[in-house]
Amino acid sequence: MLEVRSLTARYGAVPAVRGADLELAPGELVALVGANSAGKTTLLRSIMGLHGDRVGRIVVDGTDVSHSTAVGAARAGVAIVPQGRRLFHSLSVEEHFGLASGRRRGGPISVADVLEFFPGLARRRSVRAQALSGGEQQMLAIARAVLVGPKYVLMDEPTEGLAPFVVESVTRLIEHLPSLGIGVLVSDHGDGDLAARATRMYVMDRGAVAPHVAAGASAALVLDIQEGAVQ
Amino acid sequence: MAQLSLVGAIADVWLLHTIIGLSFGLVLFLVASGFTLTFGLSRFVNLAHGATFMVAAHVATQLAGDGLPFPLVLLGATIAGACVSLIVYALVTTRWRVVSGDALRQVLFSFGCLLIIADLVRQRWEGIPHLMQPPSAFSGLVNIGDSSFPVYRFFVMGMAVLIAAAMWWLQERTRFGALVRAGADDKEQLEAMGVRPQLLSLAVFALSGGLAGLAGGLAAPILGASLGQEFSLLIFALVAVVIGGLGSLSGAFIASILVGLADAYGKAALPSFASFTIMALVIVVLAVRPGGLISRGNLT
Repeated sequence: MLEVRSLTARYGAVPAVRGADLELAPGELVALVGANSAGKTTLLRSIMGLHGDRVGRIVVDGTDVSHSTAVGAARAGVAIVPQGRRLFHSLSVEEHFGLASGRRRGGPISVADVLEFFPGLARRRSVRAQALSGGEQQMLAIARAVLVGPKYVLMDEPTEGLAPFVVESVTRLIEHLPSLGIGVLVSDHGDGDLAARATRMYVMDRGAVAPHVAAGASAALVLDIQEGAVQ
Repeated sequence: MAQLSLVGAIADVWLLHTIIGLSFGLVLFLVASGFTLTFGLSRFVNLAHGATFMVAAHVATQLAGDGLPFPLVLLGATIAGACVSLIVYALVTTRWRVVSGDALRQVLFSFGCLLIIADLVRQRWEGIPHLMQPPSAFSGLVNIGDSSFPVYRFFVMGMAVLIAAAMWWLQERTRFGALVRAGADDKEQLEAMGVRPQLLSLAVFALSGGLAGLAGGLAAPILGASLGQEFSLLIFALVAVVIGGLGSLSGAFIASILVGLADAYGKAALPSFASFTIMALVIVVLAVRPGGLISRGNLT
């Protein structure tokens, strides 16, 4: 279980996340829905240990990582698909696979599994990340996160700005992860495509996080959020 | 006939300066590559790198004077360089919060290290310039036209090319190289994969110091070991790094050779403007390519 309690994260004096509570169990697909600038990115980065200015409690399977760096969170079993992909530009697709899988063997998901979902990457294995298309970059960012072998993956708007057919394969892989026992927390602000498939949902508004009761949220709710009607 | 031989003599002179420039440029690459590696990964401007070279040159000269076989002399110089670099790394780490992300503070900090190390060398070796004897196997001379040229320079060139090739292999073909490049591209995401950047930085500082040390040892029979070297070498290396593009190994390689040649030709053609020629090279290159010859483009 990934547990977040009373997490507050700031940029200088401005709190971007205010007392957030959330939970993510293994094998769960949970959506984090909110408008732009609601604080979703800061929340995910804070859980990963990438945002330094934070207070609160973060526990991963009993390991307290509240004061850990990203290395600590990663070793406790958390991975992130960051906003903007943030790939290693000078590394090839193959090298991303190699660094992510490391010397570890027999994780829940292998390079071959990933390539089944993203066959387009298989033909681009020797290409450097900076030469990939936007869709290929997003697929590689997801592959990099899951190949590390995490128990929990945080995904920051993974389908944002992608062509429909890429959205489809990305969504298929994300939906597959819970069946491997991996907990997925996916942020989303727009069309609610992933939010609609989630088992649970949190709504984020101006830094505050609240659970949303009805699972498989409707497009109407997402629209409400965009218009700022959900408080 | 007389004209022909004159042309031949001029060609010989230029050939001679080309070899001098190439051999200096290749030694320079060993220094510049370490500088660019530590900057690329740790974003640290390590001016103490010049002192690392100087310490190694003194250690090599001392060891050779003590009668150690040449390979052990080079090994000793390499280890000395790595140790100096690791000491600088340890000092930087204790003050990382203060210098992180602030180039001016880094420059002041590492320049302070350079001055202290230089003064320790002055105390230990009394500031007298030494020239190491080349190993007997390479002590001969090659005739080029009317002039003769030490064989040892060719040995240095060969070694430097081999090391450059090994570094290319390390950077492009090994897991360690991929980690270093990944860290230079996006250190935060590397940490998010569970890789501790401190270990990587430690390894890169040791490698960069070892390279500067090896350069100091290899160059000791040519450049000698003397005070002031820490600045002169540093300036040439900085010029090569800036021209090549900060953080780029291949850029540093091309630029080091250009700097070596510009320096050699400048000293030959315009002796009184010798130090101007490499700065002219900087101006021309940066006017055309502000990020250097091979710009990584994502350095902020």
